[in-house]
Amino acid sequence: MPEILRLDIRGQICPSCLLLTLKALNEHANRLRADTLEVVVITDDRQATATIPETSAKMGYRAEVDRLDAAYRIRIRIHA
Amino acid sequence: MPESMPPDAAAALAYIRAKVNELLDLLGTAPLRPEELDDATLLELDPIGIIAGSFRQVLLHMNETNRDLARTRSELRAILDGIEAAVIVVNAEQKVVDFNRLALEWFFADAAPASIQGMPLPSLCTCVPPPERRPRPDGSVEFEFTEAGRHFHVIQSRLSANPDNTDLTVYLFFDITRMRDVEARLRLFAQVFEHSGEGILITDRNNRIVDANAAFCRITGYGLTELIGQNPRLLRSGLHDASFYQDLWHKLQSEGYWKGEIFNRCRDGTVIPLLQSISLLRDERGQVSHYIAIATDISHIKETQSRLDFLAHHDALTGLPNRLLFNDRLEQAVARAKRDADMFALLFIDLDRFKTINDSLGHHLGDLMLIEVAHRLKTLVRGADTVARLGGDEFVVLMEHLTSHPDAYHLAEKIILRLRQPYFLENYELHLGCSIGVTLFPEDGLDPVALLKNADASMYRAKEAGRDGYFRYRPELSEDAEARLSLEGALRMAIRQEAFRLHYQPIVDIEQGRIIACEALVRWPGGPAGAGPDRFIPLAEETRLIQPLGEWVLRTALQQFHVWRQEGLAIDYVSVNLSAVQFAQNRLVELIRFMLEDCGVEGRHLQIELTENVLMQDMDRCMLLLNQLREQGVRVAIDDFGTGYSSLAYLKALPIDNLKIDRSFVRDLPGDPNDAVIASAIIGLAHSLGLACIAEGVETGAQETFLRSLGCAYLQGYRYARPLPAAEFEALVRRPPPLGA
Repeated sequence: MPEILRLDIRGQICPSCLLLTLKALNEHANRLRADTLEVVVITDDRQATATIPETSAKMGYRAEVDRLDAAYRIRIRIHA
Repeated sequence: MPESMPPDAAAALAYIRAKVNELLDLLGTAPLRPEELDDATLLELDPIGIIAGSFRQVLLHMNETNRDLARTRSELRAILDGIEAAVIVVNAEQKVVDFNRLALEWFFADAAPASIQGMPLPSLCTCVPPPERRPRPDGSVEFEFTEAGRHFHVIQSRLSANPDNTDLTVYLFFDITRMRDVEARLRLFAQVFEHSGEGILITDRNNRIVDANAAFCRITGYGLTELIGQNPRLLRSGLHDASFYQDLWHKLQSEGYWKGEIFNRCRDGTVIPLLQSISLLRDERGQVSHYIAIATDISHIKETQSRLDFLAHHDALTGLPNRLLFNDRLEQAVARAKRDADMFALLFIDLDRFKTINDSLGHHLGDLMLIEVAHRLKTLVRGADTVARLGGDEFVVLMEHLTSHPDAYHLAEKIILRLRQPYFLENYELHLGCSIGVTLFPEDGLDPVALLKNADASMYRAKEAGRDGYFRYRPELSEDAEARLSLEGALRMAIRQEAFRLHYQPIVDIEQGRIIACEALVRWPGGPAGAGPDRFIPLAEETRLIQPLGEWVLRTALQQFHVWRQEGLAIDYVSVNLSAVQFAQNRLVELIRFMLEDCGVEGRHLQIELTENVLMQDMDRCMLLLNQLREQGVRVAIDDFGTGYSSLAYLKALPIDNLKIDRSFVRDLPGDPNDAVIASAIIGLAHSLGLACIAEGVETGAQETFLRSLGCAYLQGYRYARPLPAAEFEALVRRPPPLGA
């Protein structure tokens, strides 16, 4: 199982959410692409649940969105 | 802050915000809001750096995706080229867009793929669906077509996977040539099965009938539906025991094959013989799957076989066992008698005068007579005895379990009496006798050959003893019979090789003092020792060889006479002896007429000599024949006159020219008073009948003087000349020594 990098960006709204997430994905691109790392984004911005998965997909990642209490969890892993 | 930043920082920041927004828009998200992100934060966050990094990952991902696509494409190509079907994709204009390896091989003759691309498909192959073929609900059309001897099943469908390519049409071609061939073979096998003249029956592993062909139904009389599901036991005739079927199954299981003759019962209950072969079939796992029986109806062969068997062992005319079967029975009788110290008798029966009847009245009547003789013989013997016909007029009776010799003699006597009874056949009353030779086992021979040979020899002795009687074998007979057989062989050969010569003995007219004629006498120069004319001529008569021999004599004498006449030799006629057998010949008159014409001799220059006994056999026929010969001018002489029993009245009625006084009456003349009286009486009789008289065997002057004094002027004998070769006879006629010297 890959290691998990938790990114809590609650309180941020788009496009900051997206930019912060992309920054993390860029920083850890090697480990993510080697599938040794999973980035888990916690956000309360609803718009981010659409923009983050869409942009991640263009980069070759798969994003799963879960609903948490008053927040969303977006799990991002390299597309298997 | 970057060094390349424009001097107007506000303008630069505005530029950055605009470009960031542009990039964010490309990523599909909302633009930056200044109220959220002040300039300092904007610079600290470095959104352009973030987005550039993300774009790097987007490109990376696209490269990976492209690589995957390329691999997938080549995998699909490999699959397409690997399938056992040809695939051709065409566009709306029917131009080839794509195709696989087999399409190239089958339809495009392995041309360069680039040269095929864009070509209209109809110009490359004829795979056009028949217009009447309706598309299926999904729009595809299936059809078949043939090209270069190959059959194809084609599925033509619209390519609908990609909505952009709806104009593409895919053709899938499956080569079904082998399937068609297999189907054709199957159809052929089905025809063979159905139309085979031999019955074919197929059962499953449990020996239940699964199929039968028309011939099998015809042979057995069962309908196919009556047979299906049944066990072939249904057809058992009940004529074979359990071990027969056990052996059959054993051989079938161990060797996979059985062949033999079998009796089956038909639907109507009749039993028929079949020549049947059964084969066992196994499936791929080696388990028995079917049994196949092929049956030929051999009823007619069987009938022919038993008929042939009967024919081979029986005489067709009388239905009696023939020589082959008789030899069998005789062998068995010998074996049995040896084992049981028993005795048996063999009666060899030869019909007397049968040949004369056959020749004079025809084979048809002769055959009727043989049938009647066979019938009479059968009624005389006991059931256990065998009556057989060995051929011609030879019959034989095998009398087994003999208690005493006289029983055999008694049967022989009964046979003689019974066969002597008149035969009434087609308005004729005919008489026949028989001669029987008897041999007894074990005294007269210990094996079949000796017994039969000795019985044959005894039969000949019975004939010699005057016919119409039987004779029990005696050892000395064998030697006679063997000598006779060897002489007969030599005689046959001599006739084939014309090894005979004619000698001519002069007949002189003592009053005129000249040779007036000659008698032709046959000689056998290279013949066996002791085979003089008095030996071989009787044998030739018995064996009927006299017929070809007599013809040769007649022809040779006439040819010689013709030569002499041509050379001016002045004699009146040549005299030729005719035997009883020749006289009985059907076409005798025609034969003589033909020979006279053929040799260029007039009838008056031929004299035939017949013995009294010949003339006495069938008087009506004699009269007819002699009159016909007389019409040809042929002279007739009675030979050896005085030794037979001529009726004077009959003699008077016959057209005869000469009487020849037998030499036995001349030999002791003039000293023997008896002979002198007889000679004188014969000469007197001849004169009174108006016949000429020739004395034979004249050797002395005294005989000549005496005969001359009685008025017999024609003389023949050693006093004048022995029988001479033609040349010597001719010389004698031309320069005769003084007669009476």
